[in-house]
Amino acid sequence: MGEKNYTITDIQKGLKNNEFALAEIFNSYISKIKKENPKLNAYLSTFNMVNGSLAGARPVETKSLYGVPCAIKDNMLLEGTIATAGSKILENYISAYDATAVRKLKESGALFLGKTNLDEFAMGSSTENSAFGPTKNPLDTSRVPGGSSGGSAAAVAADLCVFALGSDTGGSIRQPAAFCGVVGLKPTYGRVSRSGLIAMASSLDQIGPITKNVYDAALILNAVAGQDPYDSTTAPVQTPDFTHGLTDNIRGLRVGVPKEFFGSGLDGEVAEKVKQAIARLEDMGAKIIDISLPHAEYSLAAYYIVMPCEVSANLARFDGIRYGHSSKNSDNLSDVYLNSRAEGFGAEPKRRIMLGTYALSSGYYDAYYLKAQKVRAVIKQDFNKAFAKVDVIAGPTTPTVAFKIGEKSDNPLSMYLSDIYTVPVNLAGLPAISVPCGIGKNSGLPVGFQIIGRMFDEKTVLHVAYQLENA
Amino acid sequence: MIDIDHVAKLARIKLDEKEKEKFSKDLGAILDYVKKLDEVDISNVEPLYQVTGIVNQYRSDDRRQGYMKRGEDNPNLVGQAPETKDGFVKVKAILQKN
Repeated sequence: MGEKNYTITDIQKGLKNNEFALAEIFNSYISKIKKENPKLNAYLSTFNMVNGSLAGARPVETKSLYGVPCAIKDNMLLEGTIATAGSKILENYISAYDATAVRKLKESGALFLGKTNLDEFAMGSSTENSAFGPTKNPLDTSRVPGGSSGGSAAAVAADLCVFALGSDTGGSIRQPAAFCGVVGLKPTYGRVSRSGLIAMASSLDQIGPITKNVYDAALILNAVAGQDPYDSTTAPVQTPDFTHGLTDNIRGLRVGVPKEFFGSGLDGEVAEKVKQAIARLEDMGAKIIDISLPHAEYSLAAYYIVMPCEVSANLARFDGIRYGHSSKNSDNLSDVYLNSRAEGFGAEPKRRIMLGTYALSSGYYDAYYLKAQKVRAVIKQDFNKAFAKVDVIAGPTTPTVAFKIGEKSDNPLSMYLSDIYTVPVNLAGLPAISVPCGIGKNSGLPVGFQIIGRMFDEKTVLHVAYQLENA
Repeated sequence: MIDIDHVAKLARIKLDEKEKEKFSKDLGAILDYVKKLDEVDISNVEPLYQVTGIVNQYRSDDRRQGYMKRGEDNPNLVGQAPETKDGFVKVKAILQKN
């Protein structure tokens, strides 16, 4: 087996034409991970073919992901294997069941190589908040891969897997995909089941694929989408074939470009590549329409109330009693709580739990949580108005290319600002993709192009992304 | 000014002095930033708590295979607890003896 960067289609062809066997391709990835991972720290754990990977499912060749080796962000459960969520508090936690998205991949015949690194409980934009050390960007190991799905994006970019699953609460699939030069899709809220995803902010979290091209992202969405009795927030909508129609032309399609996404915080080299991509869409016959999302600038402020409030509730379950780290130095129940959480959580989860607890505490509800949810409604209305005039909205995924390790780790607010274009999409629940659109002329690093769609219209998002990728 | 001891108590996290100082500063900076929200006119706006509009998804009230208890469920679930006894989670005393 050569040094080819395999896509899902490559694996399917190779297996069909007997160029390699199932175990051969799997094991070649495992040996590559053994060699490369010490440098990147993309994986927290790996499996062999028998343990974990094939357990419970016997793939047959008709299955859509038969024999395709993949990686799973370590905040999703794979029965019988450890799921840390990047936290010391879950260092030894063994998954009691499969996340629905993981089970669906199993049923589609995918093979699991291992679990990937992330910011603790998916809280971060650089993977530096992992309790198990930062992941490095494979394109420049002095830089971050983005986050929180940094391990998944780095593994895909370094060809340490064919595809990976990530999760996206404020940009955690799209931002690392942009930083690592790969494709990342956040589906519509309610499209993919969150059952078995360790919850961060339940009204925002969504699982999605990180892949080497847009076609693969469509294939993975086909496999993992659908209503699930284990997650009552999954929507009763049909799952179309997302690969269908990708090659059609985009003549007459209306692409909205919000002026708010090209303001003062945007780096020049990013703006240049994004504008060139918009010009390419216009050359292909798309209609470029200037639009405004006047309240987009309030998204980050609303997000940093809504998200920590939900975090403080979701992370209350880590009490040192039922699972996870339990303090040995505690004589009574109250001290078990106080000490287990003090010892088990890192700085960022503590900061967000404290912020959320404060905002929800007696007397502050109206001033923070209620106000933030009202501003969220206003932001959603902006998108609704825009989508009356356009079919998709396009702009940069991030204000800069991948930053240096350590550059923003002392200042939480400056770290939060790297999600400024992705957060509004989560607040509104919309689907969005990041697709590479070129290399920044100063940094030599990839620039991500974000395409945002209407609720449950991943098809158009993928269609525009596919056309741009293949232009 | 945030009463950091009170918030830490509500959150059930024991903080050391250095953490108290750091989080007071960080939370203050973030709350200053979110004051931006005051600029938005929300006088006639209903809050958006969730985006799909789905309310009360019901299922038929019958036995489903996927929800059946399996023999390994107790060791897999209860077995994760730091202290167990006879298949139950063991908890420290809640009421103190004098």
